Amino acid sequence: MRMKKVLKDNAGNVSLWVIGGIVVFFLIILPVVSQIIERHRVNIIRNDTVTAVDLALRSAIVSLEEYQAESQDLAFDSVEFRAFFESYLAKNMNLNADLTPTDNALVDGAVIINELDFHGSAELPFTSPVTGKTYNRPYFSVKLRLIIAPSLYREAIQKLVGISEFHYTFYYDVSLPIDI
Amino acid sequence: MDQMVSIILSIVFIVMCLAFIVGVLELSTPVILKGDFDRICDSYVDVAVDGGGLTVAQTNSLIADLEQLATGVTVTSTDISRAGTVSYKGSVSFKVEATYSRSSIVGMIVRQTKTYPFVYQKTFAHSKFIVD
Repeated sequence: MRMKKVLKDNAGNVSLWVIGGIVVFFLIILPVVSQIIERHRVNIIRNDTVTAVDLALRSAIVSLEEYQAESQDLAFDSVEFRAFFESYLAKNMNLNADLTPTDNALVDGAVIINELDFHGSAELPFTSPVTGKTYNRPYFSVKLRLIIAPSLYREAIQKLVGISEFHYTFYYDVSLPIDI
Repeated sequence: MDQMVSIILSIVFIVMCLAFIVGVLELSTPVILKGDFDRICDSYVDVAVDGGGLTVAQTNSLIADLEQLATGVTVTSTDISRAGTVSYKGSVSFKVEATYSRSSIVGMIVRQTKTYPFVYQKTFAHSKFIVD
């Protein structure tokens, strides 16, 4: 009501219109557009990461000899498995061998593998806390920390509060394919 | 007089907002299209995972699907392992390169054809035995 009165009283005030326009542009239009673009960008990176992690996991499983379909268990050397996984992840996400980004990578900083675990038969059935899916056969869980450069607007806000990068934690789990 | 200036400024502001929105749409179109491009390639990667690569017919179908995505999308090269040729545990490559050309606004009234490169590349181990 008060705002309406202010606007009515200043209907012909040019500077109010200019200031109002600038405020609307910088505080409403730019942040909304910036947020939409950023969300879309994160979605593209997320979809690419899903494919990369899925292929890396399946390729790492294949690369090991010890897969036992009958017992639905996997006795594997986790160091060797991790090496295969990292190698395929690097190829599929355009990363260097040390998981730092190449020029063509979608991420803007080194990918950090926070979790790469195999959950055997003893833990079944298991319901993923993240996806809500229930697994009745052994599965792998992967948690990656991706660094994505913030968009123009987020970058300005982050700089104001002293944060220099935008982290995105990616969680993925896949049950062990028994047909490989 | 002041009221008239206010009206003119309002119109200028609305036009600027519209120009901004058009500019954002112009810039975001290739990004949105790349997302669709990747989605199509992802679906063919699933086929390649099962078959250890793609057959000639599947590769042609992939190219056709990608080129139907939008006017201006042209697949320039493919490097996809042929199904049945990669041994168990062998590396299957899946690389598609394309360009997307479209007329974009580069000035107030100037449009120019811009070409955006699209590259999709995945590598994975073949998980099926080949029975001779």
